[in-house]
Amino acid sequence: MNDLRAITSSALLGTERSPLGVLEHPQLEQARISLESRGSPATLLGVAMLAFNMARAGQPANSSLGSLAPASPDVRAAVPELASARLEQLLDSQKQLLPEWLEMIAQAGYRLPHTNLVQLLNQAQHSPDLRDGIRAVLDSRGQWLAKQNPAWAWAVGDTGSTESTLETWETGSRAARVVALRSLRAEQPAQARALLEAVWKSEVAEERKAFLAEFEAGISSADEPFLESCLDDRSKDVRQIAAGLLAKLPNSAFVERMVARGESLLNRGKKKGLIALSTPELEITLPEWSSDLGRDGIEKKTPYYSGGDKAYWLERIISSIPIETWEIHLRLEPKEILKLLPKDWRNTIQTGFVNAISTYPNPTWIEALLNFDSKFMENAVLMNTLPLEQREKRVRYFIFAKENTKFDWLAWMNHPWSLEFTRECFEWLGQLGQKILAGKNEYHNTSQIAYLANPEITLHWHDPKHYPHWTAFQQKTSGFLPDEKNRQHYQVTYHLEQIKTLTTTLETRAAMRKEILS
Amino acid sequence: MTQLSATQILALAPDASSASSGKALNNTSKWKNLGSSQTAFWGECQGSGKDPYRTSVDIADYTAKCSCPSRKFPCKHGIGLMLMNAAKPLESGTPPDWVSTWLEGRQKRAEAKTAPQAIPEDLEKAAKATAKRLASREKKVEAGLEELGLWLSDQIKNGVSNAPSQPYSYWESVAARLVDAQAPGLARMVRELPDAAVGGWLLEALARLHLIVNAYSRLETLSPSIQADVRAAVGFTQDKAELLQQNPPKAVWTSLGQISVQEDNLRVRRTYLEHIESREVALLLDFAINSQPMAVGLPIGVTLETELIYYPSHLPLRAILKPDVKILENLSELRGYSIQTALEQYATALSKCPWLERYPMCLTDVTVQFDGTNWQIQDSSQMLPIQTDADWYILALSGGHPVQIFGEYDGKTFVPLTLASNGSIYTLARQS
Repeated sequence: MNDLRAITSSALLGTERSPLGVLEHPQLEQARISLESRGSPATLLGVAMLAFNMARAGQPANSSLGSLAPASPDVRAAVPELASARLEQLLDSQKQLLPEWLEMIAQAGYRLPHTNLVQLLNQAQHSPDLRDGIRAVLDSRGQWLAKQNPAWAWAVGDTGSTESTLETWETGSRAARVVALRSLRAEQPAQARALLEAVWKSEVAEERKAFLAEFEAGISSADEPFLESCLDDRSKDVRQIAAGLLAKLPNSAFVERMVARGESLLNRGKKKGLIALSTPELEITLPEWSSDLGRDGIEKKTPYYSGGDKAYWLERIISSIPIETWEIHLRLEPKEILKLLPKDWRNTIQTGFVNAISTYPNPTWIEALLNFDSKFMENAVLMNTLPLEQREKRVRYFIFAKENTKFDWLAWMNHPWSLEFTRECFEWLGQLGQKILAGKNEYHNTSQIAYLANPEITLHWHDPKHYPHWTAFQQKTSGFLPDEKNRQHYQVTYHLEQIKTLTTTLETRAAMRKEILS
Repeated sequence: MTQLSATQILALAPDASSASSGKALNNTSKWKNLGSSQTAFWGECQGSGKDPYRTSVDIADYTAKCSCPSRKFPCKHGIGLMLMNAAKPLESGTPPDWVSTWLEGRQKRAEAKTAPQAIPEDLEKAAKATAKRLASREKKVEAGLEELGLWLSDQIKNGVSNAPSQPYSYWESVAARLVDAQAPGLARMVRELPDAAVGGWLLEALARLHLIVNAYSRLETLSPSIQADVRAAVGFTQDKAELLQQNPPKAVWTSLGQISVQEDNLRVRRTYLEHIESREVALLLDFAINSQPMAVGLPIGVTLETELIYYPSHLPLRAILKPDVKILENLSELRGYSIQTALEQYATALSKCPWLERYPMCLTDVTVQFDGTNWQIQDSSQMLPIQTDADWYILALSGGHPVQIFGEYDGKTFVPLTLASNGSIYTLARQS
């Protein structure tokens, strides 16, 4: 509107310098004339008011955009009312419990309430560990919503059609292409490989590395020729990733080469004595460098190893050999092999064994290692590969029974605990608590237990028959006021607070369960 | 008797921290002796003190009473108790003495309030004193406005091109002068000028001030209802006690939406009601200074029976309620208009009150959408820009299907406050 522009410009410069002239709109012009007698500033302000309000009142709304295709109806039912209220509370003050809550509603077949979709999607922007859990319970509305916001692309990444995945693979950014390749690899590993092979030569090293790293999923001997060719790649990183992947194919030429190398390194010694029944001995022949070794992903110079290059090569070779090879090759039981390892190379070889086990889990070998030396209890790889029952049994034996107070073991008890194991843990906590009350100087962060322990325990833990130590501790501390004069005052308060948080969190988890599953 | 939803309850919380603590108290393990009856529900919550806090809620209007020392109403215990009852109705029982005593007390006080007030003996004397005070104030206001008029003239005569670079004190001295002149309404508008100067709507703001100054100078030539509007804009307050002497019929209203905003050290809460038959809209204003607690608000998305009195105005909108409010039931939908019709209603309202800052409107069958730069609300033929933190939330609730949205319109932008979809009502404004 020209008039509004004229009015504004006159006001900016001042009516003294730039008086308001004749206006186009008849009504405004009429107003200007009728106000003129009051002086130019009053005229301008009066006409301006009228012009602005005419603009407001007559503001023609823009015609609408084409509309968005609406979301299709959800298939699953929304979570029950109580669970929904719980979600509000978790989002507000107990975000650590969100993954468990999400998992439970997925199990029960519910979907997220629409009211919390935005909050949860935003939350997972900062906490990627929530993403899988959220994806599982989105349903139609959630997926539709996530599609509207590029920041939430992760939530719909794997539901895209094959066509759109292929399109992303061809035109997307590196990160987007990695996601596309990952989703394709999960469903059609061969097609994913064919796609990557087709463009392999034209990609830069950084991208080859990122793409190849996605190949662990769905790996099979069909991948071998491609991976073998990657061993001749210009990039060291690519060669190492390829070697790591080939090591997961027990029948590959790569593993055969490693086995052949290994068998020349570790052998039964030629016994000098005449008695055949005497104890066997193991002999080490240290590896020599060759370019073949380099091609198989082993570096010439050790990147970290304090034991020198040869020890490093030895460890890497053993790491790539299926562990059961040794029983056949040496004609000895695992526990015997462990016992007979030459002292100077024992640690190196053991590390190799542990690495090999992480690729090819082998319960007999894990048992053998743990029995051989309890230091292996601290090895997360071994402990995590152990079946749950075995894991709990070991902890029970080394920690609870021996009243050891090392809390490191929590790191590898990172799975939902059995009720019996939980009971023993709480009995042990009860004992520990009583010792602290009696003056033992210890600080322990027990907060993690709250997220691992079986919440069903809250139904039973008041029973003194099964929980003598725990109930006794609870009784001693109910209404307990720490004596401020006592030097141990702080550690007692600390412990009591820890236990209180622990019990409330477990009660919350138990309630969560009831709300969703009942 | 009605059951409010968790969202409605949380909107009653005086601030975010009470809402949050209330949610944490929505946990039966923290309560003892919970129960409910036809008229109330109650419980005892163990706090940090020796004795548990006794909390009860009157179902008629969701007023909470608690023995805790908090000055907030409702306190976190009240919110927690309401949330618990909303999630799963508390078991029915006989109210303990402390609950029934409180309910009886409330009943008695309400009756006392509705009883006719005793007429003070020296009524004439008091009226005289009031008139004298008023005359003296009017004189001050007149002088203050005359001064403001000259200042406005000077602004325009000399040009406002350097206004955005003026220091804060430049505007503040004018506002302070208006406070002294007992014209707080205009002082508030002057305090907005620095924002206006930066935001590019300074001329509009100055023109509005000028219009009010001008109107006040010829007040006696205007109709009584317009006089009331001019006086309200200047900052004369209406005597509430006098308004409350009116006896409007009891009527059923729906609570459409609510928003709280912070203006300097003042918190203002706007609540909109709609008459269930005539569809007239009313605005309730509540204020709280500094950290003072805000009066308990009405739940949103319900029908309620009350006596509502409009302030005298050419565009009746602002209103107050008599103390007796009874919540009837939850709304399941909002009744709205097309964007076209709503804009026509806005234009009519603006013609009645040219300095109208914002106007409530309820839009029907609308969707929201991001056009790449801004969020828009649209029906089948038109669209308006919207301003809200709840943009994605609206999208999540609606799923792209047409919904009803109530909000405020300022002639340029629509601010969504309440949404109705599939038989449920959701509040959208963040409570500050």
